[in-house]
Amino acid sequence: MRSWLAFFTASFKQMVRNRQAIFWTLFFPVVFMTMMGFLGRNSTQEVKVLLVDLDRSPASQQVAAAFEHVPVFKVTEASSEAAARRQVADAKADAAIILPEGFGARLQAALAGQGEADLRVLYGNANLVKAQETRGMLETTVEHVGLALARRSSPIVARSEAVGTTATGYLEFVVPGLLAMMMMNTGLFSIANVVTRWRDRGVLKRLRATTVTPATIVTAWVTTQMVSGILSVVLLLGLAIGLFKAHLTVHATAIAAFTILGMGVFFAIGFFLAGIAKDSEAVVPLVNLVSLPMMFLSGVFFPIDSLPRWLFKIVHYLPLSYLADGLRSTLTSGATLASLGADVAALAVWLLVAIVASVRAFRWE
Amino acid sequence: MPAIEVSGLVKDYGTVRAVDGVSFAVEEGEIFGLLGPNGAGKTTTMEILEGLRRPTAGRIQVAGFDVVRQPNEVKRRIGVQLQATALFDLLTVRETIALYAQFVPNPRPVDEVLKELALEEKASTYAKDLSGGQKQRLSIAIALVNDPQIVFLDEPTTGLDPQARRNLWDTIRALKRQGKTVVLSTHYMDEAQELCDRLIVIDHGRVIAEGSPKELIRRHFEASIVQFRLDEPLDAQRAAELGALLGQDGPVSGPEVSAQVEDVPGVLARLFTWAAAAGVTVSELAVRTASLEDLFLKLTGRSLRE
Repeated sequence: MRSWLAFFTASFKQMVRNRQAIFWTLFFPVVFMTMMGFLGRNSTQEVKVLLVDLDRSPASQQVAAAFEHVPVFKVTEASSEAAARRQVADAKADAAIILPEGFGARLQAALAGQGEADLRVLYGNANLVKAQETRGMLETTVEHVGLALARRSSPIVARSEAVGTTATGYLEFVVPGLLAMMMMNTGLFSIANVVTRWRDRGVLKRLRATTVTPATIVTAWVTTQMVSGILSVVLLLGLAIGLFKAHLTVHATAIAAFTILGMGVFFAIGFFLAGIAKDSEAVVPLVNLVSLPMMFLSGVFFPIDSLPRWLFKIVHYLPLSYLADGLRSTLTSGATLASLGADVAALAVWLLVAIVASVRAFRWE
Repeated sequence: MPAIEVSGLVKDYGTVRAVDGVSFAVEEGEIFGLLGPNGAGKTTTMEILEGLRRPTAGRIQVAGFDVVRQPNEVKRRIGVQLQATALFDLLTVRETIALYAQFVPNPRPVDEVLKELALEEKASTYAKDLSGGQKQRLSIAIALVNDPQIVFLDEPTTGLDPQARRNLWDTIRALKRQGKTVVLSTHYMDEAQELCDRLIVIDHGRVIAEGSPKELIRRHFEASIVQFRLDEPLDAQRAAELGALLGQDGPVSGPEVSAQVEDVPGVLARLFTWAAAAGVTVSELAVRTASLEDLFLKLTGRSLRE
């Protein structure tokens, strides 16, 4: 235990002092997240609104004009409700306002105290954050128009409807992917590169000349990297939620489980790569060979079901696919650990296989 | 009881026999050398003694324990400095010593070790920023944290500048003064001659000579060595004359001439007379006692650094 603590402390010091490694592990996720965070915001400054005037009465035209006067809305006319609905669903427009037939007549009646005139608002649901903003802005505008006509209560009522399939924005999609990617990179690099360098320099052999067991060395070093991974997860999630207002659900146990299991898998793969690589220079392309395809194919940046069927069937089994899927399910859909058994089991199998392979491939020199 | 006893040590790597039946004993408190060219089997032998490799055959006792059966008993009593300095780049000198101190039951105080190896000024320098000599000293420092009975040094001065080499020699002599047994491998003849009480010469995995440097030279060379340089090549007749003069079997070939000579004054007198008569210029004349380098050349027919 004394040896373990000593090696753990020494490892931790080395990790903290290796600023370059820290920088590269966190640099990309943070930059990418920042880009997405700000991109997401910028696009909310202009709201593309389609206008479908089915009534074509002076009253309906007046209401339509009121929308055009709000600077944040970029209003264009659409030919039919179906066309407008399609465009909103495809996220080509942010929202559509439908002024139904007979709107003018109903507004007249409402102003005379008879019922109310309703118009319909379709808002795009592709980006959860933006959808709420758009809906709020449109409803407020409708209310203002109504109150301009009648002081006490608005004669016009907006009936809002969400259109589109994905319930979350890209930021919400990509943050779990970035977390998974960060875990993969930390896991692979911190083991494969460091172990081969130690082996090249004879550090491993020197350690073996002491009575300290290999298990002590391996567990202490892995624990250090695990701590670094957990801190990175906290930092990235904090940034995503705190600064960029990503709508994520944090189930601490599920996230912790996936962090530990996921990093464990990549530590073991890192040991395996270190074992089969000739030296610390040969291991770099080997690590890239493993990490780059996974980075692009395992659902970090785009959903893997958008890949060709045959490719999907293959990449679906990659460890990063399970890790990204598990993290995404819990962070964006709020799934608890209990409902993510399949991902956990698959990662556990990967962990086992990778450990066996790395033990067989391990070399002291 | 000897500090180390090795008998019939064999190590095979696949079909290659790296160590081929090596036997020797190291007495307590001596500096014992393993001398030989690169690839002779020195490092393999050392690493087997340190418990880092398993021998294919042979019996090895270190500090009274069998290295194969009780490696941890051995490891507790020895200090190891490997050929590669094997340091963690981003740990300071003090932290490195402290780390290895935590791996042993009753470590020596870190400050004491720092002082002994003259590393106090570098205590808070990262290992990666040390000079070659300082790295070697740190490497020896971590070999000393467990206050070992036996210290193994594998080519400790390779790659060091002359000043750093001499400093390290002082460090090694200091270990002997403390009563420690030192096993040292080297391919530098002068180093072995300077430091070792006794040594074995290894070539192709076999011991080809054993004894103290002086004893070995006396045993193999009764004579001194006369060497000089011929500025111009000799014709056949002159070459034969010079060969006979130096007591050699055949003619002498230049330009470097080296001969074992028992009657130094007589031979030199005859050499000068002959050279003057023959009109041959002899330069860079030197008379010296034989060195381990000469011994190696005599035993193997090869120079050590080939």
